[in-house]
Amino acid sequence: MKGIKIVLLVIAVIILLVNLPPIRWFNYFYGEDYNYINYNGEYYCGEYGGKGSSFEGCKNKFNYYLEKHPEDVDQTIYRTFSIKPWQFWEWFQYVGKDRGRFRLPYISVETVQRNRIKENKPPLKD
Amino acid sequence: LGYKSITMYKKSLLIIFCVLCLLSCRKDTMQYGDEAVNTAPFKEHLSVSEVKAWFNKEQASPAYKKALSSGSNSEFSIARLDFDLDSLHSVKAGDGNVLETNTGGQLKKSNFRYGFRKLVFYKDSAGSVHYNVYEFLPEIKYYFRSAGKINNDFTGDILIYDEHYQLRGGEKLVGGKLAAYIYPVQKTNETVSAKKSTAVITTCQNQQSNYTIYENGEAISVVYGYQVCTTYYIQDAIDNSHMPEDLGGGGLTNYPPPYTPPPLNVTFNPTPKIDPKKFMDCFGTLSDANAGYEVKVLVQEADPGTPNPHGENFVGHVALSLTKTAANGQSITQVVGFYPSSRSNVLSQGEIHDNGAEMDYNVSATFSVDGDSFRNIIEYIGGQTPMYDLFDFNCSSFVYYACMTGGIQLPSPNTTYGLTIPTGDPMTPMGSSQIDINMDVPGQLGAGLRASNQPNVNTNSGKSSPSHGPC
Repeated sequence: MKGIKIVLLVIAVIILLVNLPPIRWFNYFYGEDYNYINYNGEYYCGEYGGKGSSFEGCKNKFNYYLEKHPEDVDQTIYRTFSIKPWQFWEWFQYVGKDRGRFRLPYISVETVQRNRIKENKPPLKD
Repeated sequence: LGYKSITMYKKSLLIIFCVLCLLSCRKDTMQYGDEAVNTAPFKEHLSVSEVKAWFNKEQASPAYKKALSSGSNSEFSIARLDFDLDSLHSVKAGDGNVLETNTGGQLKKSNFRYGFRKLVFYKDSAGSVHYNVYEFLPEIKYYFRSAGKINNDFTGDILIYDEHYQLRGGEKLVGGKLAAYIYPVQKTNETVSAKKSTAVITTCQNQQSNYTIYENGEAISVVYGYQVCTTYYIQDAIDNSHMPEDLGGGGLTNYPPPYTPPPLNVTFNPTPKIDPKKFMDCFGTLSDANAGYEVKVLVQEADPGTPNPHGENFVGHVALSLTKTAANGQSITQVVGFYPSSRSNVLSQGEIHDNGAEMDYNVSATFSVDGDSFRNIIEYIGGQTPMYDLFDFNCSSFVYYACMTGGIQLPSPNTTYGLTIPTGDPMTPMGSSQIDINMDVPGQLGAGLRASNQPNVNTNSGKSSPSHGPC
């Protein structure tokens, strides 16, 4: 029983450490890419590990995009990433100031490509 | 996506491993004699079964048993190395071959374990099996760039020991090329020697370095010397009078064997990468006559208000906001930043992203420039995108050099910083240690701008303007 407690304690400490500075600052190297797109891929924004761009920044950019494209039939910002709760090193993101990103609806790249075809737009390429 | 996930997974495993890795150790110091040891000619072919037969015999010897029982108090012995003969593999060397295997040894420098040890078996001309211990100490930036792998562009030190753990010599390599020989420290003098021959002056500086090798709970501190020579005439060689003769040949520089990375299977993934030329070409749509040009440097400090290379904004960022205003009042703004194509690697192809409307910055500096300077900057950005190097050529370096082409001298983003690395070593606080790394840092550029107290520097936070986009 004592052994189990120790193991659980060690796991809890590890989870805590990787979600706190300074280790969590290394999230830049191994962290999730939080990317956003609109229904037809004309808007795209990546947080890129917080390097210059943030969730707030991407929303800001999307608002600017909507001003320029009021004709868009779908004015929703989508996330392109799936939510992976097992990635314990990302847990601090779920309680941080940008946790709203996880409440965005998801859209796959395939759906975006299909929407482009419907609007006679060429497919997105790398 | 597949490759990214795998790399991310590997990085995660590495971090977890480092945190979990609890090692205890005690230090011991070994002194080296200066007797010369004959080196392996690598002319014979050696098989795994021959090495195993030799090792079986070795294990039965009294010296082996004594070393096994007496621990680190006795002389160095293969008995205390942690290796697996079943993982031996053959490497061509000279006219013959050697058989090599990794051991559990870890080299520690600056409180960070990142070097490793190999056992290399060879057969001499009399048919006897011998071994050398090779210790690899990568240069720290190389270690990060290559994700811990040894490629044929290896930069770092390779030290070679004989069976008595006497340092025979070694090589200091830069980009896979020989930069200096390594030799036992007793033969060094902290002097500068000048050697002259016909129209030749070679100035050599003896230097020292050190590390600690850990294996099976044993720790040995190593100090070694190397000689960096500057030759002012190509025909003269560096002074290798205290090197074993065969270290000057090609055998060592061909070792370790080249490593071929596996092919990357990159699937389609939308990225914020832009065609910088299409963005920069837009400025050409406005007339140059009486136009105004503005260059704004946007700095998002990693740890706002400090030059730290990491913090709440991770590594931070620097971007350029370029604005051209025509005489009729029309204006175009493009906000661009320099990024790696692979965040998981220290070195990767660089790419330009549109930072318009999305970047929060802490410090900015605005410069009014003339048309020629502006054109130089947009040609730099719109030209071939350079490689991204997290340490030496990152977003802050890119902006620094872009501005320089336009005659704008920014404060240097370069600094030496004690980077905190998780090691899992219980001897260090929080299982992490610090390594001094020279690097370009957004925070350093921000600090330089703050310190300049110039009227064009604004220390208020702000958001980047939207970019016009491609043309």
